[in-house]
Amino acid sequence: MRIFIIFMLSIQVVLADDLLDKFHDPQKQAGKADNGLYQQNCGECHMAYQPAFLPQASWATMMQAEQLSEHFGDNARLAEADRQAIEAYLTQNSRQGKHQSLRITEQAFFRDEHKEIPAKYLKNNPVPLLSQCNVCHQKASDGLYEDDFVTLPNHGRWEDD
Amino acid sequence: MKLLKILPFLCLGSVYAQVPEAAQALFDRYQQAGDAQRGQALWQQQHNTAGKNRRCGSCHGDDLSQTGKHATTGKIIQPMALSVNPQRYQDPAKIEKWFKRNCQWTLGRECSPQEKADFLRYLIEK
Repeated sequence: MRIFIIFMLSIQVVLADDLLDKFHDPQKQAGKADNGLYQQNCGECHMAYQPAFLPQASWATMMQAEQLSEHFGDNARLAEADRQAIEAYLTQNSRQGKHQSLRITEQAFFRDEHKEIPAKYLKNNPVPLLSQCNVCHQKASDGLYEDDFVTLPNHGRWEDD
Repeated sequence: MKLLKILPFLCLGSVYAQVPEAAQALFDRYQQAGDAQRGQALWQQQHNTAGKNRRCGSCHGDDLSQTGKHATTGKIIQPMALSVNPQRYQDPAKIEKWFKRNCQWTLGRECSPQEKADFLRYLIEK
């Protein structure tokens, strides 16, 4: 009996996963940033943002050695071999588009996706900047940015109007 | 002759129990065993770098057994105290990498071998 229950439960889990997959919006799946060197060298100071968040030319600019020593106000210089490998990973997995800004939060798609968030949520909560994806997007590190996985601190589940 | 110079430090290293191998390798490289009290003083020292008041606690917090928070990005940093975070101090290259980055950020220069030995001794005894 017990085995039967476990069996039924596991079928349900598999079915639920399948269902969930059907509702995933491929536009909002950025994939996992699963490059070990990138995780190690960049992900220790900030979330390892998915390469698909910036166009190729923006990553290429950001990853220049001189640029890295002034990386948003911090020195993020890397060993040359690591720098080259990470640059290759980021540029090869980048999004389409022209270079406009090095900041992900200033990309047109990003602004568009976040314009519905009322300013009061951004002001009175522990998130200092929109750059900490994982504070609201619970599955950011898995690359899942759908509304289903959004919780705003001090506010709760995000519901689209 | 060089061996004679570093021999006392090698012996000194063995007095301390449970020093991670990686940390010991660095004490050997720095040719000194470090001093926890000096390390603590250095850790708490405030610096004016790039026009800002900076100290180790700016990111690591004041309680080494607790998590810290990156001053710019807000990313959580796991505790520095070896006693609560035994995964730390296992890779000499990683330790050196962070000394290089963080000494530069905090003090505006690289740390000397003596300073690094002092920091490391302070942190592994915490």
